[in-house]
Amino acid sequence: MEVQARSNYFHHFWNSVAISLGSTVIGLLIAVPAAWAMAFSPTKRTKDILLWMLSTKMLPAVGVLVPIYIIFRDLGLLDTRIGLIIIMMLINLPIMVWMLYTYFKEIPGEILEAARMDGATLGKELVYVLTPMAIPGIASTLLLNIILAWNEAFWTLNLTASKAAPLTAFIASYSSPEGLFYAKLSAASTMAIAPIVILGWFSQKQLVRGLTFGAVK
Amino acid sequence: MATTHTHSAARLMMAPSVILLLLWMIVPLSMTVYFSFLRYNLLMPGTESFAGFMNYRFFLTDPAFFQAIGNTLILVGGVLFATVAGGIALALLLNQPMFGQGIVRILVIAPFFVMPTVSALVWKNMLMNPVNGLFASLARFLGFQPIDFLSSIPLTSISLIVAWQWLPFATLILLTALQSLSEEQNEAAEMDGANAWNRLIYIILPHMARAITVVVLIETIFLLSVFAEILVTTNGGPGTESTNLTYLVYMQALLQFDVGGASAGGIIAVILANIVAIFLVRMIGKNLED
Repeated sequence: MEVQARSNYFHHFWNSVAISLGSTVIGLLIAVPAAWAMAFSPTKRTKDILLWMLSTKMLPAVGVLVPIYIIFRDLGLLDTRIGLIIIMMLINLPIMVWMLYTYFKEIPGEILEAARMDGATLGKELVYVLTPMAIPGIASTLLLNIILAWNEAFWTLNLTASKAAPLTAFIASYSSPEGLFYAKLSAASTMAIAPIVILGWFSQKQLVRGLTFGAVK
Repeated sequence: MATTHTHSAARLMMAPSVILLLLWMIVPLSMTVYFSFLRYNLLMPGTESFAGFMNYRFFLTDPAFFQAIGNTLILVGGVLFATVAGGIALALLLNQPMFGQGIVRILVIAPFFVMPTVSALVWKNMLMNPVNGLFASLARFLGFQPIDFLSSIPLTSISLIVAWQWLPFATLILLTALQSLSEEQNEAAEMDGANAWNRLIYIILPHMARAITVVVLIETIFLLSVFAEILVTTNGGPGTESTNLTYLVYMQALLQFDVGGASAGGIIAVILANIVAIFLVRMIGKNLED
């Protein structure tokens, strides 16, 4: 009984890890080039595109719950990790692009010119000049998005049953108490929040920046 | 630096994000609009038929709908008031130099990182439970009759839980804003004989005005979609006393399988959120210029 409970916990723990890491990494692969382009090669429309991306984040989830549920059912994506990874990636993509954009904006363009004057090619510029300067911003974005995806509790509750259920959904299954379960609930809850509370401590500053879309620094 | 070459490269780099978000926004949303005009139940496949505005009429004449709208507004308003007032107080407090500042700050911020289902369940079972909860023991110790929070004052209880979750967010942002206040200005006012209250009203609060607006707008967006806290504590009940719009749409869709009705509710939620979003986007857009 205890063993089974424990193996259950790890099953959901790994789902949480896979979903938050998977969606964050895929999201970064898509968001980094976009933020890069907007920061270093801005056009007249860059600002409009950024604001439009922001506005997609404001779409309430219930507005698209029904079609997403039906699409997922028809494609066999209900209760799968890959389905949740796609959704998490999409809902966090605007935050990722925005956060990366505000960080990349702070890399001075003159450094690029200086490197170019010294004879650096585009490839060298990327590897030796820009990447080291961009890494802190990318790392902060990674951290914040893992936290957001780990704690997300609308789509994870609505699109999973058991196979792909992450910790949010696993903990919710304790909502109808049966007998003595306080110890179990406490243990499961502690284990579910510990990793992310620790990550959160490291990312307070980035949190402000990411969640206010750069409006408060 | 910007040549045609780099511009087309830039467009290529932006394309995946733009296309994905465009699809994410347009495809499901237009499906929702389409469904909202159908008589469509998932349990009766193949019987879909055009229904005109029937779903909207059904929603707009359902007393549960108005209660849900009212509950949504109470929840958003109550939590906003609590978190902004509490956030200002905590930010002022945390900005004072004191012993163990780092630890205190971490403890204040921690609730934000607790997943909603965990915090709701802990509040429900360990604090608000009428038999075993901490509040009940406290009440009995003081000689009062313990109350069953989640069945007698469900909406207030849920607002309390949600406020506890969002207080750190408000505190963190207001503290960040407070730290950018120049010490000299404050000191100059002090020299001129302004007392603490006057400094708060005339210097500190105006300085934080923008941060407060940002907190209000962003929290509103998230608070309009409170869901998990309701699901694990009251299931929207008793009756529909703690059902907000998000939860009502969820019930219509995944418990009653009424696709048409749920879609109409979803569209109404989108319209409500957009009213807030317009202000937020405009404000952040202005910020982008300077």
